[in-house]
Amino acid sequence: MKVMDQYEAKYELWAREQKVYALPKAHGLPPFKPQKFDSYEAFNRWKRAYLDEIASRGGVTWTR
Amino acid sequence: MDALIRAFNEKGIRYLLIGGQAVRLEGMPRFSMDWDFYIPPRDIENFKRLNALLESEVEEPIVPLGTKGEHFVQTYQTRWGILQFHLGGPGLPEFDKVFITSVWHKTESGVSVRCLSGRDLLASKQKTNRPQDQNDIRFLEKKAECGLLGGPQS
Repeated sequence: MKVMDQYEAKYELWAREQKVYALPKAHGLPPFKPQKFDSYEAFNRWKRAYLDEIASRGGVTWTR
Repeated sequence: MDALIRAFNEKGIRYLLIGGQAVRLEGMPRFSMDWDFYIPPRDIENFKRLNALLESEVEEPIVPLGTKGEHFVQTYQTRWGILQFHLGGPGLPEFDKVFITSVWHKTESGVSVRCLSGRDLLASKQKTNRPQDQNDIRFLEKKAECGLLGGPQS
């Protein structure tokens, strides 16, 4: 049996539902100093490095 | 974050919620660890109000866009969450244009937040068109197809 993720159906359901899903809170984000970027390349590089750091710490915990 | 958004509104700070959180308030179930705000890039009075509000929270003030586009994204870690202030960038029309067509959404706890209109949000995502934007684009396109995407396009 082929199992498929029905993205189109999900998008239509969410679009018609018009509901705002609550955002869980992230705990354990590594601290960082203020950052100012002059290009998207620099911004994306920093963000990748930040995500790597989160991963290297085992990820964050999400709570309601 | 609700307290900060309320303060933005009460202090008359000009901002627009953009990015993943704005897509979430359009009704897409998605996560994002940061809050992206588009602010007018050289409105000095707005910077004064914003920095006065955030003075005790951030180590460095938010600064206007440089003459060569410097500092067009500024990121801060705060007790409310990660704040990213965008002063421009690919896919974002002039602030005053999109401010006129902006829409108010409510967060899950009922706080009003001023957002880029659904059509401008879709247009900005389409222009940027990064791999990570594809699900957001498809969701917003579906809303448009269903006649449910709010607000005009600037």
